Amino acid sequence: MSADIHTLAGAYVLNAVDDVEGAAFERHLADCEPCRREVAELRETVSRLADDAIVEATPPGLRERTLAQVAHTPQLRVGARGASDRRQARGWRQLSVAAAAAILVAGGASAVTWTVSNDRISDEQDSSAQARQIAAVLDAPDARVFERSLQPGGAATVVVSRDRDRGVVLLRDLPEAGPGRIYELWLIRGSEPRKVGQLAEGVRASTTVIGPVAEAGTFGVSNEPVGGSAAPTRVIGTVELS
Amino acid sequence: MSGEPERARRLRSVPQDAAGPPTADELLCGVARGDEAAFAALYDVMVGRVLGLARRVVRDPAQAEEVTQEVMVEVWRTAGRFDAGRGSASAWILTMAHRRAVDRVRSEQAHRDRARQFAATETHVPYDEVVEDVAARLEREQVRRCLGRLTPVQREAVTLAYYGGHTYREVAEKLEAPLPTVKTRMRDGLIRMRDCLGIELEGRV
Repeated sequence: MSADIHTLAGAYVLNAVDDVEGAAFERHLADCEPCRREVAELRETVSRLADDAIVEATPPGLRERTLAQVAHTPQLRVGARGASDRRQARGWRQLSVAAAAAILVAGGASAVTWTVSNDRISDEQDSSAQARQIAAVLDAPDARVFERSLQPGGAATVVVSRDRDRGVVLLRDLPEAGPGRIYELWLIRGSEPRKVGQLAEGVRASTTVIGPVAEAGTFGVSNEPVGGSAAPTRVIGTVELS
Repeated sequence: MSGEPERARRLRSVPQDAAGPPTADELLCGVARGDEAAFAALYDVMVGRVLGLARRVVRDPAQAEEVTQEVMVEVWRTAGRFDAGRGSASAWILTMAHRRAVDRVRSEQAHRDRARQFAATETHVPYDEVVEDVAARLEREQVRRCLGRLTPVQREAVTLAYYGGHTYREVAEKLEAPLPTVKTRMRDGLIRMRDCLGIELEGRV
């Protein structure tokens, strides 16, 4: 374990690291049991600091508004998952940090240029090829972020680097595709769709590297029968990449 | 450390007293099963700290309310992900609340709002006043006592990050201290507080 990254434990539980460092630290945590325990204990510790901030009188209406919203909010289903799924879920959580940063920076605008300095954590990069590809896109100086809610549920975030000719697609909270059905990912140039990926049956969240993206104007997700379709038949959402 | 029942109550999901009110951990388990009454009870247990923390960090009362509502709805939505083996329900919820509040503060809009607010009132709050203000409000005896055992730099680093929502880089600038020093002080300070509060996750009951 790297002693240097490990000293981030305090800053990490205080949410005082930037998103890239946070993601790097989480990768470190994934392989360091004592660190996970330390983080859990320090998290309990910092939470006690909220004791001091406690307010006795809460504003009228907040409780009612919250309960009313909850009554209309479906819960995330957390089923029994195998080890590989868990691994995938962990990867998703790590990446969602970057995605959150991207969304945060994008704000209300449809797209922004997202730049981030990643040199500090280069030694902590996940060794897997996909993680490197993802980092290459997210770190590209010309990376642009597009975010869209999907119908009838879920959301897509697409980070595109024209220079790298690659994109990263983050899909989350997609509705059940239905029996015998899967999600497929498309890049569309003009009216010409090109399949760039698909999710396994039952998978409703993913991080996928797509490309080439140079000419593509639109990203799309569609619901298709298992085995896939030559062209999208039931599109559930598109994201304009400009 | 075994003589600290407060710790056991916080970190254990087993009730100490079967007749007592349900703990946040028990309530969260109910919430994970879709129990709206358990959610309402959990809201009542947690809202004072969630809202108080959000106010402390984002400062704007209306935004703090928004953060509180978002966090509590997120608790409802993702309750199934809570893993009691990795910590207490209240830490899980307050971690979420702190992260949301900090995200709010760091968003460009919030920066603009805060800048505007400062400009409008023509006040500039130096960091040491923020720290003093925070320290002055540390009414909870144990937390205050334990914070008091940190070195001044450890305490400033921890409180500027937690209550002020500052990154450790910003803290380093404010304290005019090197980055590695600030990182280390934050961790050392929290470890000292952890030991002072007697927090131990896999400890004996």
